[in-house]
Amino acid sequence: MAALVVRRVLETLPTLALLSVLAFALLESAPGDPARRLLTQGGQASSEIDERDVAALRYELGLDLPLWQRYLRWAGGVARLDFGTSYVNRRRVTDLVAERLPASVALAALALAVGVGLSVPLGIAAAVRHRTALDGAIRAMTLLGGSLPAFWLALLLIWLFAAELHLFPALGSLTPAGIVLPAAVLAWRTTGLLTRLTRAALLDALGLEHIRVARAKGLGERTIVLRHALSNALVPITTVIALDLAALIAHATIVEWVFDWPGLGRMGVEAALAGDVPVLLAYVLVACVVVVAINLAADIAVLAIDPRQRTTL
Amino acid sequence: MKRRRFLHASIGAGAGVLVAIACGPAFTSAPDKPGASPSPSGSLLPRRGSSRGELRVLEPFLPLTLDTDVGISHTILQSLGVCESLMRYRPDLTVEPWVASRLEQVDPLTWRVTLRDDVTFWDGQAVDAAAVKASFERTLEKQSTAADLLPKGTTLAANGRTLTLKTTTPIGVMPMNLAAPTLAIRKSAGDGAIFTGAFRPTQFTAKESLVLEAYPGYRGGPANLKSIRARQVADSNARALALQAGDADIAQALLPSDVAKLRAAGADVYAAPWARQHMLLLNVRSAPLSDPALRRAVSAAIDRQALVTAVLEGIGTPAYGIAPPDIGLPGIASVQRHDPAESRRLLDAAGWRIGTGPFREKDGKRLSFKLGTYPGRTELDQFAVLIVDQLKAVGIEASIERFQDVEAQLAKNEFQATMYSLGSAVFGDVSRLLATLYTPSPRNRDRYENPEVTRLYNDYITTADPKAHADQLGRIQELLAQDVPIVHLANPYQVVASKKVRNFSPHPLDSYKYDADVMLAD
Repeated sequence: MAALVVRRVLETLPTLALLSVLAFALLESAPGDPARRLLTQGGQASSEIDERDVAALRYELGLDLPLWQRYLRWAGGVARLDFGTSYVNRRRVTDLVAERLPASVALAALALAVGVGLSVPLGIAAAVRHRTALDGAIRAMTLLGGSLPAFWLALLLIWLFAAELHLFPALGSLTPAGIVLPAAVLAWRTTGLLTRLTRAALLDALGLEHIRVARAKGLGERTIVLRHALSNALVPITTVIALDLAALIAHATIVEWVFDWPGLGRMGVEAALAGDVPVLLAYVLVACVVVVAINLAADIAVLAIDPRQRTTL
Repeated sequence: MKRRRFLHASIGAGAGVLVAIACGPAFTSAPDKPGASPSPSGSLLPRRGSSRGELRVLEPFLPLTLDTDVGISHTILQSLGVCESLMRYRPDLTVEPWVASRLEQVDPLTWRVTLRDDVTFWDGQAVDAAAVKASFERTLEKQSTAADLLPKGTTLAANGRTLTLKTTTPIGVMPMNLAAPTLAIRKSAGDGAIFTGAFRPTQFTAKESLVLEAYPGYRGGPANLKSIRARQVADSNARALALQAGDADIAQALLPSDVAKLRAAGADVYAAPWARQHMLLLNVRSAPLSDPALRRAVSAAIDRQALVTAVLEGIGTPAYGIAPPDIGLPGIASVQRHDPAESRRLLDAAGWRIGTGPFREKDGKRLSFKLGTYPGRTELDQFAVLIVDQLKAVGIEASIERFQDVEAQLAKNEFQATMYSLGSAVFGDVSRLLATLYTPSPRNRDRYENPEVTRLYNDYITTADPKAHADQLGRIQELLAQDVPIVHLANPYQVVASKKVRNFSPHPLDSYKYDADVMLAD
């Protein structure tokens, strides 16, 4: 098992390296000259910029170097956890990421916890009460969860719970009250997805041979569902949670923007708007690392849940 | 309170009068606000009470840095009461001394500034002429646009509280130049700078949040507010909802669609004249728009009122002149109008006839041009769609194209026509507006140039005589009415909403929002 885990960890390294190359190449080839953009950030209309200033800044930022040299320079820094300096506010990007990481982790963790905490019981209830009114209601709710755009839902919740009912603050903050609405928006979609998945996986599991045997032996329905069927369903659920994390990060970006949440997602959007390539690269790379790491953790969890997978993985 | 208002009104009225002296005008100061600060003579008027309460404000933009010599931080910081200039614009866009107590034109090339005797930096040091000179020199070194205000060759001489500016050519608009936030008075301190405003920063996160506290040594006593907590919230819906929820006391830059619902929610909603204009720039160097008759026809074909009603929900006015007519700029005339019949007549006269389809043709060529829009201002996209329909009604085909960076397109002249929105920075004084779009400039490079307009502009900026200004501006507008390098579309209003905020009203310029007298209601 330990060797398998080490092997999987080592396998992620080329993936991360490839992702870093792709992210760097994509952002570096984006239209617009970062030096020109940086001078524009300085308040000058781009047409007022002195071309000598542009050339000097390109030299200062190393933008005059060939792409591969720039990549190696950047990757070397990243290996030392140095993401460079923000073009916009001239602060170390590592510091910016470190400042915002806790807020993003807290938001994502709470959303995931709420999503999983709600979806598993709901999925079980829908599967156990298959084709009843309860099942129908839960399926309708999950459909809604999957189809409402995050930005729209965010504004709707702000309007209802902040502007009308005054139960929570409209703008997010890293406080118990301030995290409720952003986490609810993020959890809404995850809950919908996982509830549907839990229901489907459990229905499949409840039709398996060993469940019939358990029933024939006279085991209680609760034991059958929770001990024998759910353990089968956990493998796809765990995998999907990991796969869904990329979507969660994307949604978190929107939610952080609308709620003014001081997290990485908002930092990423602002960096994209300002053409702050070092910050944007750091955001993309951190997101990639998180997705890869969670997928790795999910693989390991699957190995722990279902020992049969050890031979296939 | 009544006494304060009386004092303010009477002193303010006095200060508004231009006193002609030897060679030019003089501007003398009034106290900043009713009974709030010392008179120009130095005698103390009643001071403000104690500072209390925190004003929570939501802004669409906060600065990147607290250094006024970087980017447009000066404008945002001045709007928040952090920094101040020698002169300032009143809400009617006339200028008055601010950190200065008097500005006078000694001769055509010389302006003399007398500083107030009660202005101090936050470290308690009095602001004298040497400090202002050092501030200007640093800004001229760091900000390229400062040279538009104090041209190269200007010499600064400091003597006590008197600063003498000597220019190489006459600059009649010096009072307005000295009111630009670019020339905010600053003093280098450690890695940053300190200023003279009523509020000083205690916490700052770039483009995220800024907490300010009242500066105890502010002239006339510390500000009524103990602190201001400003937060950048980019989404306008979120700003409006946060105000409704009670998470903020004031929200800036809201949407026209917010007005009714915020009023219904009990907020004080201001839909007020704003120094901004949405316009259609026409490339006079690019066929077919190189023909002035066609440009006049395009202008006459566009129903500005329909744009204001449909897109701005009536929160603004149709634009027929070079600037919004209701922000206080003198001498702004209506030089364009909506007249589809006239548009058709002009097109017929120019030889553009309806062909086989709905569009006009000449010499087998269809009357068609591309109309650019760009990200960041949704209302301009909506304007463009309506304009395409309105032009089609008179037989002109316009097809929409997207620019990622409209400024780059302007710099390269790679466009036929483009939507554009011009903001507060150039509307403080007509000369800035003329310099930006109607004479050769970085935004108007190798494009529109009428030698007579340029000559009149040069005359305008060299004189300080209001009568001469009126004549020159009138003639310039007549010429622009014929040339139509720009179709003026709409003057949007600014929408600001507040709850329990007193002594606040929106200023047409974005650089003035909160001052020492703003307060929270009990």
